[in-house]
Amino acid sequence: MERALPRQPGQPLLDPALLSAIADLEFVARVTVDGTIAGLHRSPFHGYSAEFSQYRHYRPGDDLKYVDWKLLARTDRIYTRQYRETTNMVAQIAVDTSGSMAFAGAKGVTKIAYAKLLAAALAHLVSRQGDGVGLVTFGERIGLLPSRTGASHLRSLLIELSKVEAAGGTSAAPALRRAIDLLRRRGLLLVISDLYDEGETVERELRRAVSMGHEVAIFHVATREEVEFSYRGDVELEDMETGAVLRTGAAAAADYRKAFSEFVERWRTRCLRHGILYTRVLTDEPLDVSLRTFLLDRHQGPAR
Amino acid sequence: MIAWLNPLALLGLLGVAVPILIHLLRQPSATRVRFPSLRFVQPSRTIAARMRRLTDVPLLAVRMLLVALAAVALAQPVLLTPARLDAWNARTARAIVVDVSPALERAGVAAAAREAAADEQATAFASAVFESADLASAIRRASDWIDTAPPARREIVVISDFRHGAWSPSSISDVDASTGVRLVQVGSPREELSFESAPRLDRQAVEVSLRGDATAATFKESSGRPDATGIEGADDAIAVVSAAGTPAGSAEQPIAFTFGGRGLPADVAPLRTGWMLATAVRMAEDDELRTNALDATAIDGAESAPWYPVARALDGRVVVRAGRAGDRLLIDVAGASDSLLAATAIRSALLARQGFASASEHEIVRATPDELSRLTRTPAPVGPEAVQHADRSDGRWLWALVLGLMILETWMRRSRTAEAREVAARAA
Repeated sequence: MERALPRQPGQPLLDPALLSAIADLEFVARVTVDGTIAGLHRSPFHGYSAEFSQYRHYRPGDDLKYVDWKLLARTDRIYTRQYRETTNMVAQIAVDTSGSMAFAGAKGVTKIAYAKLLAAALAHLVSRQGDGVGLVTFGERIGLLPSRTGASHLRSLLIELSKVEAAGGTSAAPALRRAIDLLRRRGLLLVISDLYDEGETVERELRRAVSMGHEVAIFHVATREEVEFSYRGDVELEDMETGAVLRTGAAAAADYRKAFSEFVERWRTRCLRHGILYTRVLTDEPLDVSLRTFLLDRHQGPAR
Repeated sequence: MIAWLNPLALLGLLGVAVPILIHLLRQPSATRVRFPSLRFVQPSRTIAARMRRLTDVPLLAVRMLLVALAAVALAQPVLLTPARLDAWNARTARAIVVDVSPALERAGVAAAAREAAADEQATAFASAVFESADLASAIRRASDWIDTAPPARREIVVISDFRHGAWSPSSISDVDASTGVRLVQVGSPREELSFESAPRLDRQAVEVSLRGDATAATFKESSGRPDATGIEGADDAIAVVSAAGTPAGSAEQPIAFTFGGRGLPADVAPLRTGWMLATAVRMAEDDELRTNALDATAIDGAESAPWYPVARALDGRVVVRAGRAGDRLLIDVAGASDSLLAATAIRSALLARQGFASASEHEIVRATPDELSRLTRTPAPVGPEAVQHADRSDGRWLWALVLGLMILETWMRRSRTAEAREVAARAA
């Protein structure tokens, strides 16, 4: 039974708070994807794993990057390459389900809820193009669903995704290794995490994925409260994964923000270095904005 | 200028340090919040560092002010403004001493004394009444009370007939010089003459007491049985009659007194009978009468016949004269019936009666208005030193401020708690 939140005037349709209240993840994914790609001129994954099919004469308006300049030099005629999209792309979506993902922002949307919405939308996006999509969850334990094509597989994936809860510590590196192994051929690895795991081990696995020819994209999920640390007065903070308790106060806010900002920058730098697409998403941002940003950045190239 | 009725309470200002210590040492209540990762969080500074940093300064300031104001209020400050001093000087604290000795009852002025006391109380800012037959001790008690009275002009009022022997001017002089003294005399400041004759051969005696209004004279035998006679006549005339057997004023030898030439019968004749002459002559030889006649005012036409001059004033004019009215010896006295001269003349006439031996006399003398006025003095103005006896301090305004601050402190404390709960609820 869907539990729908009444939409506030001005509340965007793809507001995470609104969407997370809807139990039907498939519906949510469909709505999200439709909303995201509306206005995008082409398939978000156009040009990926495409096979060359033929040349044709250049027509005004054709994308200049498909012009065969060598042929122009040889023949003085302008031809563009035409590609045929293949249907053998495989994507693996890795979702962090560690305890830290259970942290909620001011609007009550937890990182895990946002991650699930994002993962569902990405899975739907990949699947509706006829490509295979799989799911890896890593937290207290590793969950694996190898990639397959087809609507029934997508449905199964979304069901598994909806059952996921955030708990325990993280085991990102082994989970990513398994996910990369599942890709087998050149594929797409989409990691949705708050990246609180051991940075070096995770970076190593991701670098391995890139070296194997896979495309890797990271969605760094955070709440605004984690970014801004807006607590006033003394607070006792309890680590959601380790249970450690630490007493701190408003005086620590400046140092925290600086440290968190450096953490984000480190990951951005790592990703840039290895050609990994890095997208930071906040749980209070509309999903279509997050997705569209990713797709456009992906189209342009380097991590932002 | 501020005066303190309870200056020791100012030590409470040291208590202002208590909120500071509490704020420094108290581990403020911290909400527990579940947070994704503590890797970027710095713990609170050490306790030593915390001690150098005061938390929640606005709340601390309110608490310090609250303690300070409470200490000042307990010290009971009194603001000595010119207006306040003027107000004190405009009012009077009055200790009223009332003579309740039996003499006043006998004189019929006890009620008047109490009425005068009530009048004095009605016009005083603060008052206390001290009733006693012993005026000296009552004045001492009144003086003690006035020393503790609230700031005001201070006055002791003594209400009495001030008969000599019942009080002493020294009991007034012992009163503090800044305290005013007023002596209110009830009854008439006139002499009361009473005397008792020596027993005669037949063991009879006469007690005569003549009150100021001289409308009554009682003759009674030494046995104490009052005579049936009384005084006849109007206010200024006395006809002294008595039963047979009394040596003076008898039915056979009646004597009448007039005063100031008023009420004289038309047919005054010269003295003729022996007892009348003898009485007049003996009166003329009475030293007491002579002395008291000296400063009397003469009777008009007193020298003329048929009057026999009995006593003269200093200027030689007749002030007491004797004549005959029918069968009565008529003694006319210059002055009022309640004057000393009149009493002396009456006594002299009775003593002059044949066979009347010397009498022991009891004179009841009261202080004169002049004597009393010499002891009267006005209250001194109230100075700042009077604040020590202030009945009310200005601390009540400070207590009102303290109450307001307590409400503010409670509101501030609760709003912080609510804020912390909100943070916890958000994090949960």
